[in-house]
Amino acid sequence: MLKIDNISFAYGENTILKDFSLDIAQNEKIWLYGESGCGKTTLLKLILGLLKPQKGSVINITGAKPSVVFQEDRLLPFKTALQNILLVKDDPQKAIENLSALGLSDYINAPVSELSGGMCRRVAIARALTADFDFLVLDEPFTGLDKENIQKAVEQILRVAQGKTIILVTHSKEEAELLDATQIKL
Amino acid sequence: MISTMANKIFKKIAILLLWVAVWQICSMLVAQELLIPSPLSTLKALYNLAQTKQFYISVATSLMRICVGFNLGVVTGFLFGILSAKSTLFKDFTSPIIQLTKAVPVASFIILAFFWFESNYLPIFIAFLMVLPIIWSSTETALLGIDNKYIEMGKVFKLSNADIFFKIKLPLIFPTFISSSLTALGFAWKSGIAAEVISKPAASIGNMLERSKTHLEISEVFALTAVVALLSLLLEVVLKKAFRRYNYVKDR
Repeated sequence: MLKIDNISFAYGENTILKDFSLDIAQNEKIWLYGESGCGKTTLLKLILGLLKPQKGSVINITGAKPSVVFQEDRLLPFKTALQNILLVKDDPQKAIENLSALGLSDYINAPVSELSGGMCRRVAIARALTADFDFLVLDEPFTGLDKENIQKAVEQILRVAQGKTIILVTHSKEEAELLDATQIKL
Repeated sequence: MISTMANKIFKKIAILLLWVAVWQICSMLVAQELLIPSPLSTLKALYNLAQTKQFYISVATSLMRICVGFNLGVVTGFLFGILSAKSTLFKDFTSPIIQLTKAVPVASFIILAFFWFESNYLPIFIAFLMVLPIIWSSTETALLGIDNKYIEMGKVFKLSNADIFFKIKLPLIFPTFISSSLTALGFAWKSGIAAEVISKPAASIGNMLERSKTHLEISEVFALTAVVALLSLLLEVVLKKAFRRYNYVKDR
């Protein structure tokens, strides 16, 4: 589905990725791990098309649609939880289902500027799950969540993303195991 | 909560009364109504003015003129700000206009425009001219200052360029737009009245001010100045209330 072919990327003099290749198939779950600054988030940005590799290419063979939980929530502060989701996918029923599954049924119409950090994280996950996608990119998706909420989020991700590709970046082995993702070291 | 609010109101009234007392003391020390009329004689002058139909017509007309100039300035400044943020060519081409409007004293513009416009339109033009660069600059700066993370989010979720602009960018710059509009409103009001003083349109606060000055009715000048200040404050409160729901501060 995605072919990462011998890519290199540097920020100025600082080389982040060098001659990196990876094939990602449909329905595959992969866990990208490595030390801080090794290029995990950069690789995700290259996969999402937000950065262009300086060498090599990222080929989206099937034209697969991405969805993402960014490292930061990237929620619009002037909108409610539901409005933030409807911005990317006009499907209120699906959005409410996802919010409720993540324990936010009482905060559907709350402005995100009034929600806690953990709640915002869950809204960001609900947004990613409501959007139409073929592969799901999760960059440190469970930051700020307690065990119970991580469990709820994992269950909902596995339910919604069934049969789809998941690309996970996290420092937590436990989280990767919950998602049953294959390790790939950067 | 009620007692906190009552405390606030009480504090404001106390401060106001304190300044009125300072005014009264200054007036008593100078002891010349021609230089500093007392609060009471100013109040009397205001009462007398309020008995005339001309006063209300003048206030309404001045208000209308300045609001027209302000709105024209806001709309034009906003559109030009968007264009400046989008196109370097447009920005380079038009930057002398902003520099000029910022550098040239308002009095020079009033005198120049006095020869170009009929007296009724001069205050509109001056208010417009004062508002334009403020809104223009702030819109451009705010658009260029939007955190790219929101734009990236829109792109990843395949939002159209129009959606990114109208649903993400514009709401994000709205708080800046509101605060610059409030600043611009003050400038529009003051410069508009100054333009009226020079161009003397028949029904206007500026013309009344000029007439009171000529007849050495200083208490009337004070009363009209108070009216101008109060109206400015009132307009600001109305604008603030109208846009209150957009004044979010917390970002994540």
